[in-house]
Amino acid sequence: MKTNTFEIILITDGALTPEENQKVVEKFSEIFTKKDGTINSVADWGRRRLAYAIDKKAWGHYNFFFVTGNGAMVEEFHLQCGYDEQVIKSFVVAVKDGAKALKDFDALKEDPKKNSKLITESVGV
Amino acid sequence: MAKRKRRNIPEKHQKRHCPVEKAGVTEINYKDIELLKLFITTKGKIIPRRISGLSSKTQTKVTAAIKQARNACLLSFAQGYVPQEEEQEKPRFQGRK
Repeated sequence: MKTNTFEIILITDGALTPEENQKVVEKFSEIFTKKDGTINSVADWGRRRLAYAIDKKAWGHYNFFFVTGNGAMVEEFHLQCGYDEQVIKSFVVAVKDGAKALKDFDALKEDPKKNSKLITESVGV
Repeated sequence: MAKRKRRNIPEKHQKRHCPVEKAGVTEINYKDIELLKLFITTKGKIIPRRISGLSSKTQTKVTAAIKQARNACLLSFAQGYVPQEEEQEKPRFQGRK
Protein backbone atom coordinates (compact mmCIF):
# COMPACT_ATOMS: atom_id res chain seq x y z
CA MET A 1 0.00 0.00 0.00
CA LYS A 2 1.02 3.58 -0.59
CA THR A 3 2.54 5.29 2.44
CA ASN A 4 2.26 8.92 3.42
CA THR A 5 3.52 11.13 6.22
CA PHE A 6 0.82 12.40 8.52
CA GLU A 7 0.59 14.99 11.26
CA ILE A 8 -1.98 13.71 13.75
CA ILE A 9 -3.52 15.80 16.52
CA LEU A 10 -5.00 14.04 19.52
CA ILE A 11 -6.92 16.21 22.00
CA THR A 12 -7.52 14.51 25.34
CA ASP A 13 -9.67 15.62 28.27
CA GLY A 14 -8.29 18.62 30.16
CA ALA A 15 -9.27 17.09 33.52
CA LEU A 16 -6.57 14.38 33.09
CA THR A 17 -3.23 14.67 34.86
CA PRO A 18 -0.05 14.78 32.70
CA GLU A 19 0.73 11.14 33.64
CA GLU A 20 -2.73 9.95 32.61
CA ASN A 21 -2.38 11.88 29.36
CA GLN A 22 0.98 10.16 28.75
CA LYS A 23 -0.71 6.74 29.10
CA VAL A 24 -3.20 7.65 26.35
CA VAL A 25 -0.32 8.78 24.11
CA GLU A 26 1.54 5.48 24.67
CA LYS A 27 -1.62 3.50 23.90
CA PHE A 28 -2.11 5.25 20.58
CA SER A 29 1.56 5.02 19.60
CA GLU A 30 1.22 1.22 20.01
CA ILE A 31 -1.75 1.25 17.62
CA PHE A 32 0.34 3.01 14.97
CA THR A 33 3.23 0.52 15.22
CA LYS A 34 0.83 -2.47 15.09
CA LYS A 35 -0.58 -1.23 11.78
CA ASP A 36 2.88 -1.01 10.12
CA GLY A 37 3.34 2.68 10.83
CA THR A 38 6.58 4.30 12.01
CA ILE A 39 6.47 7.12 14.54
CA ASN A 40 9.01 9.80 13.64
CA SER A 41 8.35 12.00 16.63
CA VAL A 42 5.82 12.91 19.30
CA ALA A 43 5.29 16.49 20.48
CA ASP A 44 3.24 18.06 23.22
CA TRP A 45 1.57 21.49 23.20
CA GLY A 46 0.40 21.24 26.80
CA ARG A 47 -2.96 22.03 28.32
CA ARG A 48 -4.89 24.67 26.37
CA ARG A 49 -8.27 26.36 26.46
CA LEU A 50 -10.45 25.09 23.59
CA ALA A 51 -12.01 27.64 21.24
CA TYR A 52 -15.41 26.02 21.75
CA ALA A 53 -16.64 23.53 24.33
CA ILE A 54 -16.79 19.84 23.28
CA ASP A 55 -19.07 17.68 25.46
CA LYS A 56 -19.13 20.57 27.99
CA LYS A 57 -15.32 20.42 28.33
CA ALA A 58 -13.50 23.74 27.98
CA TRP A 59 -9.89 22.51 28.37
CA GLY A 60 -7.82 19.89 26.54
CA HIS A 61 -4.31 18.42 26.21
CA TYR A 62 -2.87 18.83 22.70
CA ASN A 63 -0.65 15.95 21.51
CA PHE A 64 1.03 15.72 18.09
CA PHE A 65 2.22 12.59 16.28
CA PHE A 66 4.38 12.74 13.15
CA VAL A 67 3.83 9.32 11.56
CA THR A 68 4.50 7.61 8.23
CA GLY A 69 2.02 4.92 7.31
CA ASN A 70 -0.82 3.84 5.05
CA GLY A 71 -4.55 4.53 4.94
CA ALA A 72 -5.44 1.43 6.98
CA MET A 73 -3.46 2.85 9.90
CA VAL A 74 -5.45 6.09 9.81
CA GLU A 75 -8.75 4.18 9.63
CA GLU A 76 -7.77 2.14 12.70
CA PHE A 77 -6.81 5.35 14.52
CA HIS A 78 -10.24 6.92 13.88
CA LEU A 79 -11.94 3.70 15.02
CA GLN A 80 -9.99 3.56 18.30
CA CYS A 81 -10.64 7.28 18.98
CA GLY A 82 -14.36 6.52 18.96
CA TYR A 83 -13.94 3.82 21.62
CA ASP A 84 -11.80 5.90 23.98
CA GLU A 85 -13.74 8.27 26.23
CA GLN A 86 -10.64 10.24 27.26
CA VAL A 87 -10.13 11.43 23.67
CA ILE A 88 -12.22 14.53 22.89
CA LYS A 89 -11.18 15.19 19.30
CA SER A 90 -8.74 13.95 16.66
CA PHE A 91 -7.50 15.55 13.45
CA VAL A 92 -5.28 14.16 10.66
CA VAL A 93 -3.31 16.26 8.15
CA ALA A 94 -1.14 14.91 5.32
CA VAL A 95 2.33 16.55 5.34
CA LYS A 96 5.03 16.51 2.66
CA ASP A 97 8.01 16.47 5.04
CA GLY A 98 7.52 15.26 8.61
CA ALA A 99 10.90 16.48 9.91
CA LYS A 100 10.26 19.99 8.60
CA ALA A 101 6.75 20.04 10.11
CA LEU A 102 8.19 19.20 13.54
CA LYS A 103 10.84 21.90 13.17
CA ASP A 104 8.17 24.48 12.28
CA PHE A 105 6.06 23.40 15.24
CA ASP A 106 8.97 23.79 17.68
CA ALA A 107 9.69 27.27 16.31
CA LEU A 108 6.01 28.19 16.70
CA LYS A 109 5.92 26.85 20.25
CA GLU A 110 8.91 28.98 21.23
CA ASP A 111 7.68 32.24 19.68
CA PRO A 112 3.99 32.11 18.65
CA LYS A 113 3.85 35.80 17.65
CA LYS A 114 6.88 35.79 15.30
CA ASN A 115 5.04 35.82 11.91
CA SER A 116 2.19 38.09 13.01
CA LYS A 117 4.72 40.65 14.32
CA LEU A 118 6.47 40.74 10.92
CA ILE A 119 3.17 41.56 9.17
CA THR A 120 1.99 44.20 11.66
CA GLU A 121 5.41 45.90 11.56
CA SER A 122 5.55 46.03 7.76
CA VAL A 123 1.97 47.31 7.45
CA GLY A 124 2.52 49.74 10.31
CA VAL A 125 -0.61 49.09 12.34
CA MET B 1 7.98 70.90 -26.21
CA ALA B 2 6.67 71.08 -22.70
CA LYS B 3 6.69 67.93 -20.64
CA ARG B 4 3.35 66.35 -20.12
CA LYS B 5 2.33 66.44 -16.48
CA ARG B 6 1.76 63.08 -14.84
CA ARG B 7 -1.77 62.48 -13.73
CA ASN B 8 -2.45 61.89 -10.06
CA ILE B 9 -3.70 58.32 -9.83
CA PRO B 10 -6.54 57.95 -7.33
CA GLU B 11 -5.83 55.72 -4.35
CA LYS B 12 -8.20 52.92 -5.33
CA HIS B 13 -6.44 52.46 -8.70
CA GLN B 14 -2.92 52.41 -7.27
CA LYS B 15 -1.07 49.11 -7.18
CA ARG B 16 -1.34 47.38 -3.80
CA HIS B 17 1.09 44.89 -2.33
CA CYS B 18 0.16 41.76 -0.43
CA PRO B 19 0.95 42.36 3.30
CA VAL B 20 2.02 38.74 3.88
CA GLU B 21 4.43 38.59 0.92
CA LYS B 22 5.74 42.07 1.74
CA ALA B 23 6.61 40.96 5.29
CA GLY B 24 8.53 37.94 3.96
CA VAL B 25 6.33 35.26 5.52
CA THR B 26 6.57 32.24 3.21
CA GLU B 27 4.56 29.53 4.96
CA ILE B 28 1.06 29.74 6.39
CA ASN B 29 0.19 27.03 8.89
CA TYR B 30 -3.15 26.34 10.55
CA LYS B 31 -1.47 26.23 14.00
CA ASP B 32 -0.24 29.83 13.67
CA ILE B 33 -3.38 31.36 15.21
CA GLU B 34 -1.77 34.73 15.94
CA LEU B 35 -1.27 35.24 12.18
CA LEU B 36 -4.70 33.93 11.18
CA LYS B 37 -6.54 36.15 13.67
CA LEU B 38 -5.43 39.20 11.60
CA PHE B 39 -7.64 37.99 8.75
CA ILE B 40 -10.88 37.21 10.62
CA THR B 41 -13.48 39.48 12.21
CA THR B 42 -14.46 39.43 15.89
CA LYS B 43 -17.42 37.22 14.89
CA GLY B 44 -15.03 34.73 13.22
CA LYS B 45 -15.83 35.52 9.58
CA ILE B 46 -13.04 35.44 6.98
CA ILE B 47 -12.25 38.95 5.71
CA PRO B 48 -12.66 39.23 1.88
CA ARG B 49 -9.71 39.90 -0.41
CA ARG B 50 -10.86 43.36 -1.49
CA ILE B 51 -10.55 44.52 2.15
CA SER B 52 -7.63 42.45 3.47
CA GLY B 53 -5.52 43.25 0.38
CA LEU B 54 -4.00 39.77 0.11
CA SER B 55 -2.90 38.30 -3.21
CA SER B 56 -5.11 35.52 -4.60
CA LYS B 57 -2.47 32.87 -3.85
CA THR B 58 -2.10 33.81 -0.19
CA GLN B 59 -5.85 34.34 0.29
CA THR B 60 -6.53 30.71 -0.72
CA LYS B 61 -3.82 29.53 1.67
CA VAL B 62 -5.19 31.66 4.52
CA THR B 63 -8.82 30.53 4.03
CA ALA B 64 -7.75 26.87 3.95
CA ALA B 65 -5.69 27.36 7.13
CA ILE B 66 -8.55 29.13 8.96
CA LYS B 67 -10.97 26.30 8.11
CA GLN B 68 -8.46 23.71 9.36
CA ALA B 69 -7.88 25.67 12.57
CA ARG B 70 -11.64 25.74 13.21
CA ASN B 71 -11.79 21.95 12.94
CA ALA B 72 -8.76 21.54 15.21
CA CYS B 73 -10.57 23.57 17.89
CA LEU B 74 -8.00 26.42 17.73
CA LEU B 75 -10.39 29.05 16.32
CA SER B 76 -14.07 29.34 17.11
CA PHE B 77 -16.76 29.18 14.41
CA ALA B 78 -18.82 31.98 15.94
CA GLN B 79 -16.43 33.94 18.19
CA GLY B 80 -13.21 33.83 16.15
CA TYR B 81 -10.02 34.09 18.20
CA VAL B 82 -10.35 33.00 21.83
CA PRO B 83 -7.36 34.08 23.97
CA GLN B 84 -5.58 31.66 26.28
CA GLU B 85 -6.40 32.61 29.85
CA GLU B 86 -5.15 31.14 33.05
CA GLU B 87 -7.66 29.23 35.06
CA GLN B 88 -9.17 31.22 37.92
CA GLU B 89 -11.31 29.90 40.70
CA LYS B 90 -14.61 31.68 41.13
CA PRO B 91 -15.03 33.32 44.56
CA ARG B 92 -17.43 31.33 46.67
CA PHE B 93 -20.71 32.86 47.75
CA GLN B 94 -20.48 33.38 51.50
CA GLY B 95 -24.05 34.26 52.37
CA ARG B 96 -25.70 37.60 52.80
CA LYS B 97 -24.40 39.95 55.42
